Amino acid sequence: MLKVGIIGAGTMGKMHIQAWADTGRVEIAGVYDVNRSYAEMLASRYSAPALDFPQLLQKADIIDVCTPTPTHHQYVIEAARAGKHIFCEKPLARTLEQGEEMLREVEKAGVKFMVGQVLRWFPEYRKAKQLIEEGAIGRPISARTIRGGAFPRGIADWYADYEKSGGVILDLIIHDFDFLRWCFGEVERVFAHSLTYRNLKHFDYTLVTLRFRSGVIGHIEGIFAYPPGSPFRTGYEIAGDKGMLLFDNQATMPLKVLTKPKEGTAGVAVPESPLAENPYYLEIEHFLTCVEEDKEPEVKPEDGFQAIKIALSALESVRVGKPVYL
Amino acid sequence: MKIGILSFANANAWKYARSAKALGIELLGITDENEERGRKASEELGVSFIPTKEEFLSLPIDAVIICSENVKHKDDVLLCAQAKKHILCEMPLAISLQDAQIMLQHCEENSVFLIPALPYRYSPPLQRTKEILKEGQIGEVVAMKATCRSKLPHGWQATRRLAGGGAIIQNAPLMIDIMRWLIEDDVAEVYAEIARSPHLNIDVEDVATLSFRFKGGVFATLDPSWCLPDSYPFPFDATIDIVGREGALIVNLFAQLLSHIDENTKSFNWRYWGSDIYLLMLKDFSENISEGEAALKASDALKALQVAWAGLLSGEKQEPVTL
Repeated sequence: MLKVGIIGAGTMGKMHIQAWADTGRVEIAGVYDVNRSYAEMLASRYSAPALDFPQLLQKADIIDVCTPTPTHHQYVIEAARAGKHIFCEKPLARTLEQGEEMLREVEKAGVKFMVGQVLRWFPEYRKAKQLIEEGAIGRPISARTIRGGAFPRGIADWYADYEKSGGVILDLIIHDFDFLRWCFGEVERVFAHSLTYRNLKHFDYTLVTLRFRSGVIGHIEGIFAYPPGSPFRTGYEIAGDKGMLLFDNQATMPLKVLTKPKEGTAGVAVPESPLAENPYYLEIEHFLTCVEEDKEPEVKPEDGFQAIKIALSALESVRVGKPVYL
Repeated sequence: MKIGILSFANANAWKYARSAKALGIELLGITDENEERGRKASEELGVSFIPTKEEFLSLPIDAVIICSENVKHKDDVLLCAQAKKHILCEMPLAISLQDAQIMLQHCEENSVFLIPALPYRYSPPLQRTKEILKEGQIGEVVAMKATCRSKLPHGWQATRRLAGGGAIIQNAPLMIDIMRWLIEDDVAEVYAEIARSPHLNIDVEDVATLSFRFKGGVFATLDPSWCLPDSYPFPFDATIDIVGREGALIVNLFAQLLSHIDENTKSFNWRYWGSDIYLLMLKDFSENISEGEAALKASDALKALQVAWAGLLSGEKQEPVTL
């Protein structure tokens, strides 16, 4: 049985460790976090130890990096040098230089490497790609996407430090960049407005325009700006010369749970969209199968790199106020 | 596991065939009294067409999925049971209580499972609903309101001779089963308003509203009508609203959709991207049968059918019918 080591015991670490456990095909070798007590808390739920990074590297066959973005670089490179297969949360890296070095090291080590561009396992996005390929909308012309809600709260409030997180552009709509590039190919140029460089506390919002080499125009809205507790919105409108695909997650929730207000609070309506298999499980299971059967993962290292290239170009466009060519 | 599909009269046969392929279940053969229909399916699916049921049942298969016209379910089940094949049978399982009892008895004597197709039990939104009810999040349930409407079927499903009834018999049982399953109670009384739209020229009911009183006091209604227009963007609906003393649940089994506007056909359609409930049902069927168990029970299908039949009777008498 392959052994998996988790780095980072935050939101994504919790999600991933559960997905690895659900496969039933791996042993959790341990959890490492710079805050040892977080690592201990998470690891103990899976009867696994909290370990130092060198110990984890020694014990594990697969390393899953779920830490804040700027630290992906060091963990991925060390894991690659130790010959471990690596699953790395999105975005690949904070800078292009980091990303380039990571890809070089991974290739040199000859290990399996995948970035968690999980949208490719969300059925509402997968289905759209399939329909587009089947010609359901003819030749694609334009694609508009929406993603976001309230400002995310991470450990030590790291999302609020845009030097670390890259704000809504690098952290959130990287999903849409990857999805659109998966559907429509390479991006030629990008233009963006954003609040990111204004450094507003817990408030970021962006509107990005992409021009693909194929001619398709993409428009991406990224929201870290709604009041706390707001619904998380996702959606798309993809038009072609023979049709259109529309999706709005808020309008397609199969289950709404209305409960009585607890003492001193307002009642809440919580919408849910249950699936038999969750997308985080599916991406992890896919990567595991690729390791077991020596296959190339659906998300290539280059895909993870191109996604940050689009995002970082968007940030550059915000800074210079001009379109940025990739 | 190896299976065969008996008849493609019920178009759900296609869902089973595709699910089997996705699950790695071997579909060894297809038979159909309508040879043209059977051969077409066999060619499209790349599965052998077997001209007679006798030859079909001599295939080395563990189970048969019966998708024949409703009135033929009884004879087909008896044949399969004699051949010692486990059975997954489309709903309605039978068109009378007497037939159903004979079917159940035969399957028991031949030690084969008779499993009714109740795919809604595998709906992730409904499984979550069941969990929320069990946790008591909305308190004691007092009432439910459901729909399971569809478009008017063209063909044998709109004839009494082959279908054994209309919208109530064919649409309602799946959702009646869900209501019973969610609140773990039986229907005590049914009242039904039933209509047969004169312009349609069919001999079965196409519109109905059923009212239920459960033993524990919960009341509910269900609309199983064939009233969705042909241009409705989806073939059917399935919804259930549940009112509890501490909250409520609003459930739409097929809300996980994206809209497709198709300029080629000038049509607007919803495309479902939620979990495939037929695939989940077939997976459970194959796993349970291999282990000598059954998740879905013919007795549950029969209870749902009895409620539907009582509804038909109530509609005729224009009075509530006690079960």
